[in-house]
Amino acid sequence: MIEVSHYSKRYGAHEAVQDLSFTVQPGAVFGLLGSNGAGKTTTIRALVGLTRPTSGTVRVAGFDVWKEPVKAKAAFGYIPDRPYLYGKLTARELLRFVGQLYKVEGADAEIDRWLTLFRLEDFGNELIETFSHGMRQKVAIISAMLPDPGVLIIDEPMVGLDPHAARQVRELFRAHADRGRTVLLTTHSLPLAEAVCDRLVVLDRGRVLGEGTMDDLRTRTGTAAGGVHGDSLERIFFRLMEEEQEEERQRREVVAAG
Amino acid sequence: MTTRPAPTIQPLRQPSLLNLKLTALRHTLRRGPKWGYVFVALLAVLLVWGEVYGIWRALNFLGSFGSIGTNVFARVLEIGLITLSSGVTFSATTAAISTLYLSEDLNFLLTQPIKTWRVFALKVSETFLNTAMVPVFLTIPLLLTVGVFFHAPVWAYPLMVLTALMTFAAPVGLGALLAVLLMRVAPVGRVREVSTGLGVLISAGLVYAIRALRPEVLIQKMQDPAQFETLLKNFASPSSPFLPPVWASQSIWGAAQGRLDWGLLPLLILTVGLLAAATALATRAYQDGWARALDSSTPRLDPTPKRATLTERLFARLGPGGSLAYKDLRVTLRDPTQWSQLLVVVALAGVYLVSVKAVPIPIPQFRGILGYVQLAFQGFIVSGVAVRLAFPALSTEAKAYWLLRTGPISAQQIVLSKFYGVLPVTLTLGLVMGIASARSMDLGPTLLLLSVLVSVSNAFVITALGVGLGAAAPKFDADNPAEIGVSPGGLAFMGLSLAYSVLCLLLLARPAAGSVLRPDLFPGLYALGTPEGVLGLIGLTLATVLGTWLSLRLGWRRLDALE
Repeated sequence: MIEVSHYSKRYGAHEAVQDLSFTVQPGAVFGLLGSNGAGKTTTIRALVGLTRPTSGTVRVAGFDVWKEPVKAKAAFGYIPDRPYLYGKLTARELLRFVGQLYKVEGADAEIDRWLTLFRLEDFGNELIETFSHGMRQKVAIISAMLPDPGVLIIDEPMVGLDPHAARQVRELFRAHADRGRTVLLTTHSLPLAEAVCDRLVVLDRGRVLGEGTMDDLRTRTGTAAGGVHGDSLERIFFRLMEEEQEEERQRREVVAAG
Repeated sequence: MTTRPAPTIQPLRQPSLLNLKLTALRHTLRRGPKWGYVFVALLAVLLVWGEVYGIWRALNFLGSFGSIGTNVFARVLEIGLITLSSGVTFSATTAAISTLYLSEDLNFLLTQPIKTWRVFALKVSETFLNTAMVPVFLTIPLLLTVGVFFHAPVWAYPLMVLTALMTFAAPVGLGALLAVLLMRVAPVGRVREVSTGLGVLISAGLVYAIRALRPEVLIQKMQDPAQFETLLKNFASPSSPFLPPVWASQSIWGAAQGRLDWGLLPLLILTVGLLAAATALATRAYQDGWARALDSSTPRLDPTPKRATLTERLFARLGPGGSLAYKDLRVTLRDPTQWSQLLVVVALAGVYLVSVKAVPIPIPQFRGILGYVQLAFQGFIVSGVAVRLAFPALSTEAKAYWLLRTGPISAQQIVLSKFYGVLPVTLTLGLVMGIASARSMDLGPTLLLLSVLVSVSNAFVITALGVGLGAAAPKFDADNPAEIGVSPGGLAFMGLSLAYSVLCLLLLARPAAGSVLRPDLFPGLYALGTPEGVLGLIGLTLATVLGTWLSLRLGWRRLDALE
């Protein structure tokens, strides 16, 4: 389970995230949506211990990420948007290292299974520095999935993946949640969010524009399901953005008049 | 209708690469921690003051013995310059390959309409800063103090500074030349590995070959072990006329006493020649070498799973810290920019020991004093090694650090793992230098024991300082590993470790002086049993334990708070 409570993050005068709260229950895939600079990655970074909250708390599997970091980190797997890995290790060596850190039982067999699943079995003994971006992304995904974490946190999962791998990963996340695990992902891909997410939060410039299931958001924005796959969420997203821009315009007019 | 004067067209100026770098540096400084800069500035002032004060006292003391005393100082200056410039020579090729070919900004610079030689010149300047800035910073106050002591004429000061710059620029020019040559001829697919390995070996070989200008004599003498030892000793002898640092030393010593020495001319010819040859070669081969460097090792597909070795399984039994240490060992041995540093360690220790052994000082008291004072030099060499191995230990995780940061391993485990990984190297180096130099200078039992103790203390504290400060201010986005030590944190580390080496000497100065100056009163290890001796030993133990613990603690606490 993930619990984010009144989380804010400030960089000097700039407030990247303002008073964000949400809970992700086991068995659910939760999506954080938003345009560039919305605060999605800042939120993810707080959840995985890369950024300290200015205020509020972030808890994973019942552990405060900043008060009990090792326990919290043992409970989640993290897939970053850019898969920087040790180039001088082979894929198998890196995955064994991850297996040792997370104390994974029978790691060798699991590593072989994952490499085969992602069609990397021929490359397992090769240095990661020789891999393409997509292959590195696959290794980063395997390293997060290897310990079979109770909570999976993913930042932009589809960057660099080929269509086959992208579909595989989408199904993987869904299946992981269906096994009673918790999945949180950020994405720019509205079709992906619509296809796998049970609940969504739409962020813009650090503030929550809307939250809920797809049905909740449709009701809130008065939009109906679209004909094209993914069109519906796209319409919800832009409606929320338009509402926000309208409110901003009105605020400025009040300030200018007063 | 109003008319406006036609805008005057400014002639387009060539963009300045140096300005680009300086702007980036200015932004970095502006965004960096202000207290950190104040601390580094304070440390630099203290270090320079300590250096000037110590040298002044040493010159006064040695000067009271007349020309014999000042000659001892001249020899120490020669050893210092040989050691420092050897260090720069050994690391210059590796640094040049990293800076000239592997910097991330080359993807931008070499695809712009900019003349290749300009990019090359910029990268050679960066190589100089990465490898020679600290030695230059340490040498210049020393030279100026010598100048003031001997009432040198005004022209001597810029000449001494120029000589010091050339002493360290020559190895950088050599490193750049070798880098361009090797990157051009090394086999595609292993360009980095082959070039770096060969570069280090050739640099080390060249230092020795400078002395062996008559190779047939060398081959003849190598067949006779006794003669080979004499040859090696002669090569490293501070009075060797074929070593560029000795030309520099003679030029500096002459200038300080108002004489223009001949040593400046060959040094000038060598430095300018090397830099010019490197630039000329680079205009033809630089871009091609860079393109070859982009082809790293090519995959040889083998689907047979390779399992953990016995060593990996043993390390893994130590927990996450053990697994991390083994991962580091593996990465170090595969990364030429990292393993080549181990060769530098061996080469530096070798040059230092041969140089110390060759110092012709017949008076036992002088030998004893020099034997004790050279422990500070050893501390400096250990620092020079630690700035390459311990200080970057955390930063070499580079952008893959997220894997540890988000994994179930604490900052304390990470820092301790890095410390235990580097300590065997620095401890072995310190002990070998401490014992071998004490024995080769025929020091008494007190000084021999003190050498061992100070070496152990230096290894623990300097390694901990390196790992701790490196973890407190890591540089994950360095263009190349050579850059990591050249940062405010790296300079603070060098300053603090040098200060620690001097502190060790001061703590045990009284028993050491007693055993050297009054061997009749303090025979054997007797000086260590006196109240001053016991207090000194307690002080050294406390300094070692506290210095190690506090440095590592600072490292893991700051690393834990890092965002």
